[in-house]
Amino acid sequence: MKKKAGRQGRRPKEHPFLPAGLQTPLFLKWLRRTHGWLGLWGAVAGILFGITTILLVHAEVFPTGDPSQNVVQLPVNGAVIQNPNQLGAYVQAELELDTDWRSGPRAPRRAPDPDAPVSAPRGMDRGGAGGGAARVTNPVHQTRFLSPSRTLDVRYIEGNEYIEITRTGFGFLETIKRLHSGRTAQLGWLLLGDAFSGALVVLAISGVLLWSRMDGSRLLAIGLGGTGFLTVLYFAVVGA
Amino acid sequence: MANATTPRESGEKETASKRPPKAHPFLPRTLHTRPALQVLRKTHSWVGITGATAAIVIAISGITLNHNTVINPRIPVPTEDFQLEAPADGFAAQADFERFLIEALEINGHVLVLEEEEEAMAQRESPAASESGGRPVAQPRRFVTHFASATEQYDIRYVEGNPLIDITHIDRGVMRTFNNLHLAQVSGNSWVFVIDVLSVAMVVLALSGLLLWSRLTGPRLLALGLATSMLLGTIYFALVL
Repeated sequence: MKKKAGRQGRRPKEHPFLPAGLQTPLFLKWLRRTHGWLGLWGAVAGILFGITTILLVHAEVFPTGDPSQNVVQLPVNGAVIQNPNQLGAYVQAELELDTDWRSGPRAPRRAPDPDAPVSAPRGMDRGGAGGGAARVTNPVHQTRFLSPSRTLDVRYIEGNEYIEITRTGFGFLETIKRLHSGRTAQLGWLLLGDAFSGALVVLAISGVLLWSRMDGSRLLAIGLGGTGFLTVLYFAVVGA
Repeated sequence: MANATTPRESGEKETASKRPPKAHPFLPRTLHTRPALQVLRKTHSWVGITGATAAIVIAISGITLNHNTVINPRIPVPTEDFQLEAPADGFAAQADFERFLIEALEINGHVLVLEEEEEAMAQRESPAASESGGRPVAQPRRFVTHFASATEQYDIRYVEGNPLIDITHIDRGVMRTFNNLHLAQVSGNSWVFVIDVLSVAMVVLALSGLLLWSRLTGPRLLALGLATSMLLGTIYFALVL
């Protein structure tokens, strides 16, 4: 190897994918440290996301069980609730919830989506009398508290004494699947997920840069890395 | 720096505690052999270099999907409407309708997306009467189908008797394509296989990376703390909230 290198007047690089100008001990040390620390920090998330991906993609093979559901009534105790935000704040305070409520402007598009933000139907002030009782269409306020392990659907009809809360609880496997998708996550987990995604990019790039001749032949590495690249490119272009 | 111990000094300390500190603190002592380390290192390197591109795509789309409600509405969706001439004798069944479109649009590897409501409508075999105003109006048979891939989607509607088939083509663009690749919901088995391999690779990389983690990177205590922080964060968000 050395003889060959000598003939060409250039030593083969120990890290073939690292530009020659960056092959300094200091840069390599920082690259290795970055890779080491980020990798260690993200290892648990890597295992979690790896396993849950398979659970999500092959949901029919790995059923996660039916969620449990129960309904509770929370008294309003004279509180003024005139919009979904007041409703969310009241329920959060009363039940001492750590999660925030979500009230979206859009209604579910087609089939009811268990995780979609809900919208409150527009209330009419007063309808006509029907039968013996006066027909009233008071505003209905709805919101929900989402977390990976449970969903609270909160519904309150202005003027009523109780807020109806439907609690849907999920099993462990369903919970970690919901954790993966991030749709039900609180801001903290979203940021953690973003940080992990960023770390994954840094790990992939630093890993390639750190790849050394000690691991095997450069040609094979280019071949395998190229195969990975072309596979993704193919599916990104063809989409099948 | 002044307090840093030289390898010899630390070696002396180790002799006192009888066991030398492991170079790879998370690797069981029995695996602290050259062949085991070599296998671990090679597995980590080869799996890593093969999956690097996919990991980048999955990571980028992970962020965009996490913030879907903020990012998605800002990404334009190029949509094109066009028509195809329907065969003179129409379609005998939904399957004929789909077969005709697969051929005419050169649909290859797309997933047939069935939406409950429209599927029921598409499967309606006999013309139904609909009340519009006061008079019942006989309804012709209607065919609806959707073909989707990570890169594009076709929404297709045809009413029997019409000379033209109504087609909407949606080009998803790079970001939405990445998102769909990430979700693997409208992908064929081959991409699902890639995702499966990548998932296993992630687990292998995480475990082998942990085992390979060396003291050269930094102190073991900090390492334990960082790894545990992620574990505790996961437990908190999964089980406590």
